[in-house]
Amino acid sequence: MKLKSLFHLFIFTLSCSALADENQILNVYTYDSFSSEWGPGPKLKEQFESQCQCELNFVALDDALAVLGRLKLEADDTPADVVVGLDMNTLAVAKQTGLFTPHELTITDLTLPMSWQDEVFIPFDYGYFAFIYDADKLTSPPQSFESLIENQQNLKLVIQDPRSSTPGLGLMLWIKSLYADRAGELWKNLSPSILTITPGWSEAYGLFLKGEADMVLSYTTSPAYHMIVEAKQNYKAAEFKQGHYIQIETAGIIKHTKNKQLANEFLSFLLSKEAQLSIATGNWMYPAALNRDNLPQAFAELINPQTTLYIDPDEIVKYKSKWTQEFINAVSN
Amino acid sequence: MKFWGWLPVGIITSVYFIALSGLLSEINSNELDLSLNHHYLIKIIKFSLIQAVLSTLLSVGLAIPVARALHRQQFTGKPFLLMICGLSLVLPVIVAILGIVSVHGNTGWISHLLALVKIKANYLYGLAGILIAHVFFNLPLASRIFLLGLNTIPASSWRLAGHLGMNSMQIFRFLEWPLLRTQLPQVAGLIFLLCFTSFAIVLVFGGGLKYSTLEVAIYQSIRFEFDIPRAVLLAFIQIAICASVFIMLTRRSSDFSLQNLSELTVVRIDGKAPKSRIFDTFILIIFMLWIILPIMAIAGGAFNLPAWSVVNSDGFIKAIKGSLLISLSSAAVASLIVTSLCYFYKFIGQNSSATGLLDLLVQLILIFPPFVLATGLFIILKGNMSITGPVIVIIVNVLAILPFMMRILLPAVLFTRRYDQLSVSLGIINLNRFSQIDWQIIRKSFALAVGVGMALSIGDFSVIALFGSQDFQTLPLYLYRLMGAYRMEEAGVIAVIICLLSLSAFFISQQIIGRNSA
Repeated sequence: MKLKSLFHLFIFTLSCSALADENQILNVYTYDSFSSEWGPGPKLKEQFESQCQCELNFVALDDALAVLGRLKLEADDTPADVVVGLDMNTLAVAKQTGLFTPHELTITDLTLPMSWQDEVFIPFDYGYFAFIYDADKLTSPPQSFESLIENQQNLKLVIQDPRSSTPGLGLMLWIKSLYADRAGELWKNLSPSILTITPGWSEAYGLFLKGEADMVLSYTTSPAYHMIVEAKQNYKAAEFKQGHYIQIETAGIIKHTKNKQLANEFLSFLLSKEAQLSIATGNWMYPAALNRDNLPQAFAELINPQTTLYIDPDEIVKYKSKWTQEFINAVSN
Repeated sequence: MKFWGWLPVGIITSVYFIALSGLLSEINSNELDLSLNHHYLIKIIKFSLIQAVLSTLLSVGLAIPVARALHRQQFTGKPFLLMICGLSLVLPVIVAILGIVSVHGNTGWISHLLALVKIKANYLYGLAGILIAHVFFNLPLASRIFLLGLNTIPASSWRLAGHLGMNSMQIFRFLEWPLLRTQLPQVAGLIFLLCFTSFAIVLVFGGGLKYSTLEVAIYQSIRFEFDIPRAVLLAFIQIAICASVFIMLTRRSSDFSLQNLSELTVVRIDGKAPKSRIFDTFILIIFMLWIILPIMAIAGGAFNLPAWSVVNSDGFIKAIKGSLLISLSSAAVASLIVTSLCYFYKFIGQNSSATGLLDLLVQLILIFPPFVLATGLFIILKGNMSITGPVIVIIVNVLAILPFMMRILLPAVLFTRRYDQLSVSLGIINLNRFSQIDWQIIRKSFALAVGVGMALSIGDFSVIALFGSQDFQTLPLYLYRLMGAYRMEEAGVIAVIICLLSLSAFFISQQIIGRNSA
């Protein structure tokens, strides 16, 4: 025990010298494609710091699920003030940690395709999972999971691990929402088409862009990036008639934060028009509190899923590990 | 003297003890739910075993003809080839992985060659990639040990073989094989353990779920799901398997030791036969290409000038700071611990069961999954990850480099026994004795040990994968991230920097500490 207190003293001295700055520092845990130089992070930092008299410090891990793991590890001692990027599917698990506290915002004009009532997390963007392909190489893209399976001689997919990546989890739930008890069977049939399962989204998308795979699991909004930033029209999302699973990304405040007010200001900033625009054109998702008319033209050219699929978060928390095992057993053969 | 000897033993023991208590507390507070997926668990154990056995068979099986060829042929490039061999042994794993990807990857050199004849090469990911990487590391290791063994066959035996007119087969059967057989269990066991606990290689080439070893599954359970009970269960399975291999080895081990082996070269008549010449040349060319191509690919990274702009990036600055912090502190702490451990060893030297226990304590880290150890420590120490993280990485690193440093320093310390009686009779004792006599004797080994410790820490890629973030990273983690983002040119530059840093740590420590002055 003595050793432990000595250690804490040591840490305390270290952190005192580190925090001797006058400005308040807001520590934001997020995933790395959000905070990286090509993500919305740097712009958001600039915009928020110009109005807050504070320093916004992103702490980035590979994926939102890694952020959740880190939070569980640090528990009550976490230096995080705000967590950005946990999606609807992981909210219930996140709440179980007991590390989050309700926000103090009154949210009125959300533009989500579904209603949102949550006192802890605010949504800041959303998108639909979809398989992206290169239209120059693939002329007749599959329009359902069945046709993916039928074409498996010609189609190689890269997907993400549902244990480590929110898109990977999204795909697992997408298939679950469509096939219920037959999901394991579908995975088994899909398995030969899977080139590799990466731990995170960036690795998978990188593999696809390198031409190693024909399709990659990403979002219906991903082609907007190629149109706007690279002026390339050939990357498209395959529209599945069965419907697309929705991902709503959220932000929440850590219970033990010493900067509660600042944290709330940051959340409300995330829903401001300027931040929403930066997020849409940096994270390449639909804004959660901004009409689509405000977005660049490229967004209007994207496919617009007719059916929105999702599974109730309480259901997910109950069955997630069972479904994950089902997935692992089906694809690891 | 006794106290200073017990101190490092106490420190190491308490690290394990603290980690275990942390893990157990987490298991109690979560209701013990071991509703494990047995199907998947068995699959992981099976795959861990299969890949390790195959890697061992390939490495050892190929090492025998390579060592024979190296032994019976004399050629101008031989010292160079042996040097390259040694280089591949000290190459940081993550750096070597990059080299292997550049040669064998889907857009690598070999697939470019095969594309000329319209063959699409796509073999690196999965079992093949894991085996390629394991053989890259372990074939040179096994070849070198076998070569040292072959060198111990006395010249008289060769003369006798010449008189009897033995052919190559008979020489192998009557001279070489009896010797290699005594080395075989140890070499195979060592390689099996290295491959069985392999992490980075399986993480990169395993392709996610399909090919996972226990070590990777432990990492994933902690990092992705924070499932401590499962991680602990997997860890115990791994330790149990490793320990039984270890025990089997020590039971069967012969008195063969790598020390006191001379590098005598004998001229063997059987190497002159045209058949064996052709065979040996073929073997050695393949062996050389196998080792040298990935190393060339790594070195080639230095010549990609535009990619050097990566050193201006924020990430690189943080990574190099992290690497220096980790390696300097680990080497400093470890050199204190290892010195007192060696003296303790000398002190209790008469008691073989005590020294055996000490060996076990130091080498435990070789089979103990570092992720489990680090997580256990973190649960107890808690605190802000950006401060506790580096502390834990240093602790685990110190444990990880101790066995290697001890192996280097111990013989020198034991050598000082020779002066025990003389110093007592001259009344030179304690610190005086250490600075005036012992230090002069152990200085060179000490310098080498510090250099090796630092070089190993610079290239380390294990717990940092668990504790790293954008704020706290090291060069190997940064390299892994760049590879993940397919920024291979920049990754190449980082690989070169890691190698240069390791080399300079090595040379600088020998210059400063090991120099013959005074």
